Amino acid sequence: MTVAVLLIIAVALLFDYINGFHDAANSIATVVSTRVLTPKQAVAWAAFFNFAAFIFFGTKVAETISQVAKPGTFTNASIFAALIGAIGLDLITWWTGLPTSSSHALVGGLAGAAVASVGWSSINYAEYQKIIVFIVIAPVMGFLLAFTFMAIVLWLFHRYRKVDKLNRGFRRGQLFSAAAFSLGHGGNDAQKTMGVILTVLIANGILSQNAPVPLWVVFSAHLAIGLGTLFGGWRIVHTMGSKITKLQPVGGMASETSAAISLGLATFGGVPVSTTHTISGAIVGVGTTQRLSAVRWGVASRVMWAWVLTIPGAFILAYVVYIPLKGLT
Amino acid sequence: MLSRRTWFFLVIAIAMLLLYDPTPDKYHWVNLALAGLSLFWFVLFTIEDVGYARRVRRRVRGGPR
Repeated sequence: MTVAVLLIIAVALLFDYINGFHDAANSIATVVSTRVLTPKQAVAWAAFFNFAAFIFFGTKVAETISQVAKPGTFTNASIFAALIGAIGLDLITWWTGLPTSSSHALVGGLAGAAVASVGWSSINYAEYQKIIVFIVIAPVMGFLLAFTFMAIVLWLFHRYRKVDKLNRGFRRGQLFSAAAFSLGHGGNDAQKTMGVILTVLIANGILSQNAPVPLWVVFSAHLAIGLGTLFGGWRIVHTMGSKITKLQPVGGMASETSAAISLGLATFGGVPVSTTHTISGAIVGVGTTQRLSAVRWGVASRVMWAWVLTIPGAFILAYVVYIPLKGLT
Repeated sequence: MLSRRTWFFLVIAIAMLLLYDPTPDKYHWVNLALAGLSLFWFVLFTIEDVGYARRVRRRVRGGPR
């Protein structure tokens, strides 16, 4: 392996770390806002399950990421530009407290770098179509599952008078739902970094085009995202946990379980989806069981705009970053 | 007569059906399942909204509750 390859792998793992850092809030916001765990406990809990996800999920999402551009498109310089574009956008949105998707930042960055280096013909539109369609489907799935889950729970327990006992049960349940969500988060998001590392290894001839993801890549990607979560991003906790809608333990459990199911299905299907989109949709779903006005649509629409602008934003950043690197291979 | 929440579920169902074509064949079941679930809630809330509107009308007329 050359120094350039090692440098790009290090940057990819840094992206993974920032992904965990940026998205930590998604895993722990509801569990913290309902006071089931203290922030420190929640972060440790989520980080552990982010890491443990490598036992449960395959590498289909990584393969999708490595196929977003046609074979032979990427060079070390373009992958580097894609990563810098994605990391740059992630940091900007983290700084402004917007829960955008690191995954879509990466996908946008890869597209920007591919277009800057080879042109529009290098894009694998079928893969992008899948990713873009699921930008809409993932939060809707989270929303509908969370709404249905909440409705069933409310219907089952609406006559139950021992509210404190019930809340205690849901608080315990939230530990499991938070763990399930962190597994889903680790499973889907760590694989995006695996996809980038796989692309670098293929571009440099270290692996063949259809080679499986090496175990050290799987392990290091999960470790990086777990560590990122451990040092999580507190700015976004506030937006996710309390600004969209106020959550009770039952709502936290419903939203995390629904988001975990949505992420699990997407990961097994090989679709890179946004954990941020999915949990946001699920939180809105829980809020909607009270009434539509319980959801603070102003905040939700600010989040939606951030989603819409993520891919073009990362695309432009990666494109611009690639220009001075053009001479390099 | 129908509440905003009820319309919201119809909009979601329509959106999922509109996305049916651009979604890869392998994942069509996701569109159908989500559209089905939102239609289910749309029908349920429509029944609730219509029933509520009738009750209110009866109360206004001073009829039996």
